[in-house]
Amino acid sequence: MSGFDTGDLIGKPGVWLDGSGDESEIVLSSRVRIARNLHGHRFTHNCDNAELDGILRKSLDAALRTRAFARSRYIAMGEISTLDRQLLAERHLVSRDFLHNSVSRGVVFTPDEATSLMINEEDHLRMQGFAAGFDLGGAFRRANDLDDQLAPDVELAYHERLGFLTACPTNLGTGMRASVLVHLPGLVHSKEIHKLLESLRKLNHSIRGFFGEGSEVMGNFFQLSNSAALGTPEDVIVKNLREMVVKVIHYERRSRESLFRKAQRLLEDKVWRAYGLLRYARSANTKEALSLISAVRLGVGAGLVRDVPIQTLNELVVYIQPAHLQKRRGTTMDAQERDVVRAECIREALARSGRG
Amino acid sequence: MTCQNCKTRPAKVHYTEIVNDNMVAMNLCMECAEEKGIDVQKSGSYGLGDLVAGLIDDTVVSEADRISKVRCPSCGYEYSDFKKIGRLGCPECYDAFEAQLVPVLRHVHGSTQHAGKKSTQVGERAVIRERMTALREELSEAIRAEDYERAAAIRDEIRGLETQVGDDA
Repeated sequence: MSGFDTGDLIGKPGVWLDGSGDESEIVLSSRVRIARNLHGHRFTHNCDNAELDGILRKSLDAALRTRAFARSRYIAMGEISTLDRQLLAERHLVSRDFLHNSVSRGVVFTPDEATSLMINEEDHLRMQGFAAGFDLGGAFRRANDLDDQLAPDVELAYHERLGFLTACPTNLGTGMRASVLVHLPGLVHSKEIHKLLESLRKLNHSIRGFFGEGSEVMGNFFQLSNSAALGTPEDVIVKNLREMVVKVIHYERRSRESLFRKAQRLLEDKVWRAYGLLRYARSANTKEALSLISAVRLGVGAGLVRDVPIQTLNELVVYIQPAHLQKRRGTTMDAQERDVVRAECIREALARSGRG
Repeated sequence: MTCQNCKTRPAKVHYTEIVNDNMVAMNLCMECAEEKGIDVQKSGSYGLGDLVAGLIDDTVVSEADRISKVRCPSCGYEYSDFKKIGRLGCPECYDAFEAQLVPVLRHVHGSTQHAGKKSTQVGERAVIRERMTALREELSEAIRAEDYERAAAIRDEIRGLETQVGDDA
């Protein structure tokens, strides 16, 4: 399927960012990823192109038979530009690994982008289920249904004692990682985030930046996830993370309340300054933009800012990324040009929501 | 922000490292990052695989040399390859390197025994389809040999399998 243009994606974000769902002022989205590998093949990084091709063919054949992907599109990474690949990565449809490796790699996803499958990533099959807000059950159902539908059509690498075999031993067993994307300005400002990090680690959970492994923390957005995949059944992994997130939400609320109690005027000033900058700035880099969006988001949660829906702020988190800006303009741009278009994109989004 | 290693050049590479069980934010310049062996050009990030590979040095220090020479009979991967990149070569590697992997699994997962979804009917249809491909070849051979009795039998068997996998449409 060639001639695909990701340009038709940029007008609407994945359904998982629509600001609906429980606790949406703190939890942006929930995600469950399941890793699987085909029996009788080496792991992706250890394959030559012919073997990768065989894996791709078998996997795609099986994927396109599933009910989950009845009206879905397959995009071959080798047939689209680097910019398009980057755009898919910004939407979390593919990992950053696909930016560098594109041969015999591809992704299938549903029109609402809530269910997707990467083929020949670190593992042969990486299934993802997304849901808006705090809905790990919904995300799990999507990924797990896809896994159930795929399983009869592919012979998977499975070990009686170790479970599903994965390229990296960290994913072994269930092959599952459940995560939530959370906004924690309260815990960051009150400097309690380090305590949280410490206790999460002790309870076998991990916390990372917005774009996952190795990415920088920006705009007080974090990803919380389970770190153990072996020895705990899927439903318990989901339950444990859910309980953890309930506590994190509670702590975040408490931090926000105490911050507003102690420094009401200071915080109000911070929120409205950020709002003013977003409304009128003529240039902003990603880091600054995310930090301003974070402050306004805090203001929306506290009921200070009333004319900006959470959905607009969620969408902006994705829309202000480099590839989205460049696709929007239809041309490649250097960092300085992007900063200008980024500011414009934010101004327009806020002006639209202000009128509505 | 300046590089926390050389404290002169600007920090360009940011990642979180696990040092003595604590997550530590690292901010390095390109030069220092490369010195630390981080493949800045290729990955741009420091993956979990690398962290796991690093962790092995702490858990299995002795006998390192002998162990690193163990080879997977299926894909030829050496244990030292795993230590280098943090990924195994093929599914069979788990059996080949079992002794070395047990402490790693215990450290990462706190367990060495899978619990949860099993793989009972996994691949059922895939196996049937493979059988069908073989039968189709046999069928054309039978037709070429003008052995129509055998061809009819094979055709019936294929039809039977088709209903099983739901391909009859």
